[in-house]
Amino acid sequence: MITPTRTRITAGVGLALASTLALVGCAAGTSPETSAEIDTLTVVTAAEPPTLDYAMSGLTGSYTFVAASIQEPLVRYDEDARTTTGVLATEWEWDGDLSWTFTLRDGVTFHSGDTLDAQDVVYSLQRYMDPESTVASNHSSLASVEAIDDLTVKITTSSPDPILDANLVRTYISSKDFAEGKDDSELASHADGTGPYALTEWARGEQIVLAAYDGYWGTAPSIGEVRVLFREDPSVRTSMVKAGEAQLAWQVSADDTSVPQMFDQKTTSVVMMRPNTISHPALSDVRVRQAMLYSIDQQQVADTLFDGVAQAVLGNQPVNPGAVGYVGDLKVWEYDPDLAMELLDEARADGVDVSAPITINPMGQGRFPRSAEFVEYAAGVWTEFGLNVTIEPLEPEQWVKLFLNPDPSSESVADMLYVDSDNPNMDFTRAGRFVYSKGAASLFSDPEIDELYSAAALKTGEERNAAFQEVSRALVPLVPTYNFGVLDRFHAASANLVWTPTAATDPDFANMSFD
Amino acid sequence: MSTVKAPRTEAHRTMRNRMSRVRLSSFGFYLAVGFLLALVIAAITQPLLVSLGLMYSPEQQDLLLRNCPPGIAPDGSFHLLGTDHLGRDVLSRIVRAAQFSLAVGALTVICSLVLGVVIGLLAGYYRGAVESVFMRLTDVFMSIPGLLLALFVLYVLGGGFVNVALVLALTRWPVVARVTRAAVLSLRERQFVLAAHTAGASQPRILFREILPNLYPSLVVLGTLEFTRAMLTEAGLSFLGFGIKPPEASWGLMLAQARPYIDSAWWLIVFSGLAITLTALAVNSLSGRVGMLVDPQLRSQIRTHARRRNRTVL
Repeated sequence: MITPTRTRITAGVGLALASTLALVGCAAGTSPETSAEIDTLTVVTAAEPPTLDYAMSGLTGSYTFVAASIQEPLVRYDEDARTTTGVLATEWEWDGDLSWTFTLRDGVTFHSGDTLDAQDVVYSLQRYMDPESTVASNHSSLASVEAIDDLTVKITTSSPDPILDANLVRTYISSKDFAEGKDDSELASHADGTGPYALTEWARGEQIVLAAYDGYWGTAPSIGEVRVLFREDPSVRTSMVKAGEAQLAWQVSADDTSVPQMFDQKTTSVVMMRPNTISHPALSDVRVRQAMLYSIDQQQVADTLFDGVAQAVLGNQPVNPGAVGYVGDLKVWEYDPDLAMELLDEARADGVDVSAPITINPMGQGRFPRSAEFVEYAAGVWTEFGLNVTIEPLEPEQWVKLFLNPDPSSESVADMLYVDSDNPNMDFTRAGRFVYSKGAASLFSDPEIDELYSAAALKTGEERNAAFQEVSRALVPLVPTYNFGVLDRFHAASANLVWTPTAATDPDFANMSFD
Repeated sequence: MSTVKAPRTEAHRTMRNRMSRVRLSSFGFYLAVGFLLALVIAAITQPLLVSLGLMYSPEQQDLLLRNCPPGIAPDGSFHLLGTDHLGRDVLSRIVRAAQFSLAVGALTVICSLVLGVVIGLLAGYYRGAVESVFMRLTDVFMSIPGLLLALFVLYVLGGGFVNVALVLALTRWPVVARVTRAAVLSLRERQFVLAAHTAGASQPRILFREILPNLYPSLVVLGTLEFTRAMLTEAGLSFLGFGIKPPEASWGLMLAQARPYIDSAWWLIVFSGLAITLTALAVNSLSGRVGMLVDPQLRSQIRTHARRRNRTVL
């Protein structure tokens, strides 16, 4: 109960400080000292990463917030070109069947002094493929990795994977010499990488300090030092920017118009609920699922509750605009309470236990603004329609357990998991986690969809896009997941911070600079 | 007739003085009773009021009416205390939350009183091994931080009204047991207990008919104080997200949900905060007086006093 007061005090102090700072800024003008002073970027975000070891990061977004500046993957996704571009790899080739060959960039060094070679890539990938690792499900298609020579790596997949490159955009490479012989807890707090910033200090519960890495192979970053602070409350983060205590507040409420600068970042994340369509007495009936969508006015939600938080989804598609397989000419799911009632009555008349308890499981209070409010709203609406809905927030670890490899025959399977699913590789296969019966987080099975999906997954280019669009359209009446919005993110920043946000990337401090 | 009249007027006057003094000092008393009665009646009759159209349904959401200030909303409907983040009427939510908050308080007090009184009575009356075992048990329970135990149990069992009440009772019964035991220790040596014993009364009769009634005043005072304490703890737990879960309503939960809007919608935090404060204040200010009402000694004095006066009149 202390927090509200503190927020208020901080806001007050913030105003005073902000005005003082403005005065100082005016007085100092363009003296060289000013630019030296602001060589440090202080960023404040919601959650401290639990670990800096990708293999143990699970699926928590707080990991990539810092790690993406320290470590680099082989390739990344370029939104403008709508394809992957090389980072640590310069060339890669698919033989049309099971094997991919990556040629590594020459002369790249790790922060620890080691030089990047094929052994580092093999070592890193093998750690991630290890079933003990919490990211193993993201690398389930990989069968083996081997070094051909110093700068060539051959990856073999268990089934043909035409977009393996895109699936590796978050596969961070760390140094074998550095990591070998260190135990998991040591790796969790010490990260080595090839990225533009090196980890200099991590005071748990306080801050993470990054310093620009002199030997970086690419363009040297303009900001010399990055301090990352953690404050859970979005309004506290905003106040810190207003007070000049931080130059960038990650993910704040868009309502506040008094911040010096607000960045609007389109994201790839879809807010969705994943019903147990296999073994839940009510949710396994498609009419119940359709009725649940008809009962919520999605356009109104987008205009009010999600105003400045998320855009409405067209045709309940599970992927974000711009991704492979996205269909642009569908309509927002219609609001029709009468039809919803009719569908429920019909299902009830056919002996479906419509009033079976449905528990919605969000992860904590949610990872974006108004997250908890939306769940409460949806639960309220569905309760009004006679469904028996309760909300049970879970701790991240419990939540991830329910999210991955759900077993519909088990007692503990989640009725309805509340997810915000990102899509770093901008491909439909990310949504395939939910809609393909063999997907890593799937509680949906339809033989026809499976056939279309597995055929589409083998295609490339425009053919792939068209094939997945067909899957998208076929999925509409089946309602495998409820998709309520594509998230926008708002970041408050000081007036002098220059940055062009992109959707597919994590915060790229290397591309930020001070005016 | 006239000889009797003068002293009676005298007595009458002093009586009236005393009454008026009492009435003045108990203005707050009536206010507290009024507030609590209104709250309880509203909470109990809410479904009826809603069906009669006298009150908005606490579940009725309207996203077009998010965070409307007290008064008339854009669609012409009147909301005395405004609307919340999902467009629900704040007054209805507060009354709905009162059902939970009051019920949690009452259930907690009943459970901790029953448990604590039984253990305290046995320990104080029988002494010896029974006393050592029970008192060490209360020592153990009293040395566990209450909020911590509550958080842990609720984390394992999940929230909800019954669980919250049981957990709070679990952390509070040792206080009742100690107070009871201390009182029983002195009462069991008193002559009326000895008299009952000599008259051949059974032990349960002595415990529950002779000793227990003399504990009522302190138990009632303790109970009312514990009631506020339980209510406030429930608000704290719900605020932290461990007590009552949405879409149910509780004052603590309402405060937590109002937090993001603290600088844009003051009515959300002010009215739910006021509901907690005023209820706690009202219950606390009643505790002493209610204790006097159930005190058997005071009651017998009043009775003998009245009897004597009746006799003089006769």
